[in-house]
Amino acid sequence: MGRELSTRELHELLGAYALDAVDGDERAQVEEWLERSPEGHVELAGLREAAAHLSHTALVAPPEVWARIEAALAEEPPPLVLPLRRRRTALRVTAGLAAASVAAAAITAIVLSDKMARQDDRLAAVTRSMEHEGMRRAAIAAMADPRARTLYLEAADGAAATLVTLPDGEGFLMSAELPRLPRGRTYQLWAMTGTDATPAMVSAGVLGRDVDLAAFRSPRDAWGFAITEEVDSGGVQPKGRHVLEGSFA
Amino acid sequence: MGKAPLRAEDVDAASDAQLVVAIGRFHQPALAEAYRRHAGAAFGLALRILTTRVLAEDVVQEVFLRLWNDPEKFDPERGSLRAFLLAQTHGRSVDLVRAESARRSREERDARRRPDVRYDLEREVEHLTLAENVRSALADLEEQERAAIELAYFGGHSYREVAELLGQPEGTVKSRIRSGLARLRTALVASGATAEGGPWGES
Repeated sequence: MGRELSTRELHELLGAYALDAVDGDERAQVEEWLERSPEGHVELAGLREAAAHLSHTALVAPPEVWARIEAALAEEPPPLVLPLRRRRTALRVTAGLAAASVAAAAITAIVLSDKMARQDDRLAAVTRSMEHEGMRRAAIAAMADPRARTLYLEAADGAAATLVTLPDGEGFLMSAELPRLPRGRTYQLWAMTGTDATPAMVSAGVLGRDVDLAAFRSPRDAWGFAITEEVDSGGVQPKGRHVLEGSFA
Repeated sequence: MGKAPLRAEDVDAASDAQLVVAIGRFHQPALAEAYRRHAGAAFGLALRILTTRVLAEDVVQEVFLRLWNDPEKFDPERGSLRAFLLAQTHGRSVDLVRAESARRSREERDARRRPDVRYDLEREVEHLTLAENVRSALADLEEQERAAIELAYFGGHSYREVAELLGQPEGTVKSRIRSGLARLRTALVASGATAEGGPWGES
């Protein structure tokens, strides 16, 4: 492990990183930083866009490569092979054919259902990715808003999260570094309101057991936030372990 | 995101993002259209880095099969499909060129290139069939910025190697690559060659 780079140094490396010109430990540090830096991602996308122009050549897409790609796409999953015994009498041939048809239909159904399931998985993944990015874009816009307040929460055990809130109560939890919880448990976000003498904690949302980015609404007068671990339905009052807690300066 | 599948006759008018959604539905004509739009650039880039047609073809095949198998890896909010595919192409090509067998020939090539970096860089620009505004944006870069960018991007060198090749401090090279790319980006946006969200939607 080399020297730990400062944020400024990591930022400075982005150009070289966009060109795959950063190696080893430095590369790992840039990637780790990018995980928690939406602004870094935006700049990286711009730098890669610029780099893409450098390759603006007039070459024609090679048709032989497309032929190879098509051949690879045509490869179906290996067929299921069922051991079919030879029929011993002519009388059983019809029944045998019927049984074979049923078996073939069953195989087709299995293959089709597998293909449909894979398609559903792929579509769900694409949709999730786009929805996630829509939220990320909104979070980045919120961060850039001069009226936004940012709160960085960090615990001794390494748990951390950044919260950005706007004056109307809209907020985003981002760059969360929270360990995945076991089934039946969830993280819950709480807004702290009231006065020092009579503080109150109001739920700002149940976050799920695996969270890295979330949108929430909180009271406009919230002066701090906490994240607790609760049972998976969440609660109206915090009862579980306080994972993170902090207030605006 | 629309629910209706993209019709075969619509693919040539679809945006890149729509093509990727259709690829997510196992719609092969959408992949063919993405290939038609972007494989030439990917192949050109791979060929520039690898200098071997067979290897460049392998990289292009791998990149488009990866798009077919993992379309969700493309994020339209983080840039254009072309930039995504070229970043994949570049990364894979650099991996290959840095492999030990390729390194030897690259070092030989570098030894030939090193005495006259300026000539090569001008040749790079001249031989690329760039749109006028792209050429103009490139010309606006400082010579040393362009040198660092070209050696890293087309030579597959790390910034440390670029610093050694150019005889400059690593920190300087690192800064020049970033500032050069940023200025190129700004100039391209200003000239209309690229939008903030990416230039390669339909073609």
